[in-house]
Amino acid sequence: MSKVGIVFKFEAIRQLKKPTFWISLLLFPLGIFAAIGLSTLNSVGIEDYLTSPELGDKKIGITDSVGLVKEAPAELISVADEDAGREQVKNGELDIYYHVADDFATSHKITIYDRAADTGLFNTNSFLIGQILKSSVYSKLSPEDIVLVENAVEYETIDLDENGNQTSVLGQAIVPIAILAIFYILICVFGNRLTMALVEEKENRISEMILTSVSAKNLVIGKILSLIALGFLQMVVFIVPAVAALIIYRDNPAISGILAQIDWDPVRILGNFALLLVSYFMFAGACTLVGSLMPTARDASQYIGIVMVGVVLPLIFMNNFIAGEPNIVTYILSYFPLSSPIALMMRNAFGNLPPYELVLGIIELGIASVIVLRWTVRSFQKNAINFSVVKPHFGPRKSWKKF
Amino acid sequence: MIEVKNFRMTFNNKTVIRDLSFEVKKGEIFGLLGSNGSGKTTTIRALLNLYTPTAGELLINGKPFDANADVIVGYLPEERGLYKKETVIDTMVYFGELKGLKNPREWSANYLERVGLGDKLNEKTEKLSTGQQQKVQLGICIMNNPELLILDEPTKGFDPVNRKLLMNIIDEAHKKGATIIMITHYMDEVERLCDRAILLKDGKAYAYGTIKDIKKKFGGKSFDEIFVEVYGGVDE
Repeated sequence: MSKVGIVFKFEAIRQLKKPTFWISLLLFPLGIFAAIGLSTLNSVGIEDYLTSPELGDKKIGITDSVGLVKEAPAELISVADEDAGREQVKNGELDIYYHVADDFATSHKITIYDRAADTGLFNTNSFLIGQILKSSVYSKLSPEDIVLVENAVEYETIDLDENGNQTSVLGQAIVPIAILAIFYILICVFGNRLTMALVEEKENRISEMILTSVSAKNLVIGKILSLIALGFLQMVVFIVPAVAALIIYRDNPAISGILAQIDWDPVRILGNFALLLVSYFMFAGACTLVGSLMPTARDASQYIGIVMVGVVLPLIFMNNFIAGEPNIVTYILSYFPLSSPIALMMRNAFGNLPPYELVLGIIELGIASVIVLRWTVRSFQKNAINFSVVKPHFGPRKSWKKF
Repeated sequence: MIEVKNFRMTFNNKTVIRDLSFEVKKGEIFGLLGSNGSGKTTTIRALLNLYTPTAGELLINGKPFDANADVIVGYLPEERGLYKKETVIDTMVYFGELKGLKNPREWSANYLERVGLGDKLNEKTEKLSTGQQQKVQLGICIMNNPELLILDEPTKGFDPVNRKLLMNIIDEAHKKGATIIMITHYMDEVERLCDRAILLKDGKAYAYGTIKDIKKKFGGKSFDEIFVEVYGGVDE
């Protein structure tokens, strides 16, 4: 096995052994499943409002002098007045008692009596009366009226291109934006690990000894490649459950709505995927470069913020990338290496990146990756045994010729 | 084996080494001596290409050092450490693989047994004492029979028993043909082990030659006495 391979294997196994790696790896996919699952559990279809809510085994009483509940469920017990209701709850004859205020029109008040011992921390009794009231009102309405009242109209917008053909701006952007989101997740999860990859060699005072066994170049490349590979593992762990969740929950109205909207544009999808790959290499180089310049994790964490600001900067100018003619800000952020990943991916997602600019962007990021990685190698070679903060020199210097 | 020619090293306009030249012959034990700050470690770092010399040449087998080259170097630096969260055996196997050792796991287990750390194989290195970590580091240096062994204060902080054990291990490496450069403040070790030595003072060679020649130059004094004479008044 080559020395790069040995470093790669060692570093990859080290990361895989860390519990924090698995927590961050599984956090996002589990989060997605949980979010979609919860939304499915909470989703209430229009038809649910046309049937009375199940009251279960509970004995529920109500005093409704104003006649709010127009069609009361059969199990709902009518109680003469508030005092009687209160007494029945106290005696255990009722589990819950609702008292609609006589001045409900102005006070909007319903008092709920229940036994504290039965309610627990999360009291759902107000939700129950809400359901009863809604069902009561909705039973008088037509399904169409309910759709309007619930603001559940499903709007279908048909966008036409200049040739009059049907197109979908949002539908075409969904998958490329998802790829952009993956890039964000990768930099959030791996930014710190990449930075620490070289800092720890110095912090552990091991760099001086290891550099007689492996060259700085092989060590840096091995470390970066292992983290890039783990980044791709993260990507797979993210994409596979996301696709599985979409398939499993495809009948969920929200999910089916999104799926119906997706317009698969292979050029935009592949374009953003290519940008994702070169951007991650470039970002990996930038993070490790910071690590190679800093003596400790604490110092590095202060400087890595500069890289992160560059990456998130395009979000402030998001409108420039989504619509309208590109301006000077659009071009600066599209071609400044740190901001270009997000800027280019966003422009490409919304169809505002001409093919020649896409190719130019990929080439630029590819070249930037190589330069930054070579700079990192040289910097680590030079600063591996420098245990104080190194101020990066951005001016012209003879050593630039060596790139 | 090693040639240092007109070596000069300047940091931030401060010259640490001035026009230093010396040779280390193949198979000898060479003492690189001097007070703190005299430039010993700087010379070794420049020899191993960790520093770029301001002027001069530092060659191993006629070429500047390259970790990818054929020459096998074992280096126990002054600033030393290990991967804190890794086990002793995993760390040693990693270095063994990097050094091209055929069976690093078996070699490491045997070595650890020999230095009394046989029960620490699967301990995280951060759990070891400083002395135990130093034994692991020395093991990493001598694995794969290095042609050149550079030891920067190898027995610093050791008790006499472990110091003797380590000196035996170093002696074995020498018998197997390793050329050894040793930086130490223990002058008895210099007299007992070294064939030749150089004494650095103010970035220059103050004395250089065989142990016998250096002693003769100072009127037959012991190295302890020579050290006090040369560096007397220098803050230790």
